[in-house]
Amino acid sequence: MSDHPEIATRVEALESVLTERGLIDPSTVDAIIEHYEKDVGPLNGARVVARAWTEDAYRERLLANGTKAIAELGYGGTEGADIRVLENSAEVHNVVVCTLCSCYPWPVLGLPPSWYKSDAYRSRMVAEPRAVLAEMGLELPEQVRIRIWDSSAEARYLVLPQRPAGTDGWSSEQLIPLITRDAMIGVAHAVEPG
Amino acid sequence: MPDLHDLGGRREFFAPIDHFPDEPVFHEAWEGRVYAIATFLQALMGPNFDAFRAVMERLPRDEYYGPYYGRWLGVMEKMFSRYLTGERTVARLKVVATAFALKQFVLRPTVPRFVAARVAPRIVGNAKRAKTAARFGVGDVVRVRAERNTGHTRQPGYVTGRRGAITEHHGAAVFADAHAATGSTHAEHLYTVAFDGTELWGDAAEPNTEIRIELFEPYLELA
Repeated sequence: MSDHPEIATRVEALESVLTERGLIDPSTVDAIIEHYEKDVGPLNGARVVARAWTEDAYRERLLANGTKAIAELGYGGTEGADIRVLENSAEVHNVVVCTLCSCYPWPVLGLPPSWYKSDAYRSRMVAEPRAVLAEMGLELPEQVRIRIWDSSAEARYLVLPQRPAGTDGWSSEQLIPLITRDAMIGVAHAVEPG
Repeated sequence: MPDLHDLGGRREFFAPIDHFPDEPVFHEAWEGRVYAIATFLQALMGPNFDAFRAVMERLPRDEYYGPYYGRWLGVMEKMFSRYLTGERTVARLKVVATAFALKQFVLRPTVPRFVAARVAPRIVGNAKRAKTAARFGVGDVVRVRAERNTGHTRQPGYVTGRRGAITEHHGAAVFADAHAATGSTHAEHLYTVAFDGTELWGDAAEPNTEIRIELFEPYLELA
């Protein structure tokens, strides 16, 4: 049972009129849903980050031109025309928001989670990032500069988190589970091993 | 000017963040249907996300602040109303070709490198050469103009009137304000501008914070 039965009914009505009028192809609509549920998600971004952690030349290409370096792994498309990669360091922590709507790098992170699209996150992140991050479990010392990126126009941003200590010599496959969606938005660090 | 959507720094929206590290892509079946129908129609009609956002920003208040994909539904019902009544139609062949192209080239776990790097950005992006030379360069200190366009704009309220420094200039793109208003595809230069937290929030700013945002040239003047 839907929490929003009135909306669900309107969607059914819209889809049936569009189908009757021959404006949509229902099997393609099904395929779009499946694509975003199965193929496109933060695992893509995690593969990009793991490669950047393990291959310096790739990391440099990624920071120089995110879209092109991400395309090497076969990811690209809607909301990914101009992807910029932001590297976290001991001095600067990057975090991403869209105050005007819900801009987000779909090809590498999938569709945005509800909290990213919430009024609370969109209003607060630019004004009180330390409070928001602390509330989400990430306390950063004052000497770390917090750089908030408001996605307002063409660029979409992917945060390159710091590689956790104790992972020297780890393969991409071992590193990928440490790289969460939250870390690539910038509201968390990558997971510490062990 | 619609301001339902312009939320940066608006204290009346401050609330705890309902954060779940893992959540499904679509919480209910209808959300996926709305998303996918919108995707199909954008592919069919040619994407104009600026127009889409412009309609969204003028939704009734309750609908805008309702469920996220409910917002998308509201936009589609308005944007495509003349197609829903049958007043306008699209050739069957175009619908079939769109379905074929999506399945064949787009809805794949990965796409060829040159498609992702060179073809897709031209179709889904708005980058375009500007007819005029850039007025500003990296390092310039600029002020965001005090006024805003009355319709759709990508000039948020919280940076309006504020001083920042240009950190990047990545060429130009179709000017969202004009694109939404008239369909014009003329391009304007785009700059990344950095604002110190104290410039935006004064004494209330948290220490050692800055905001970076891409702004179109018409929004900016030399400070």
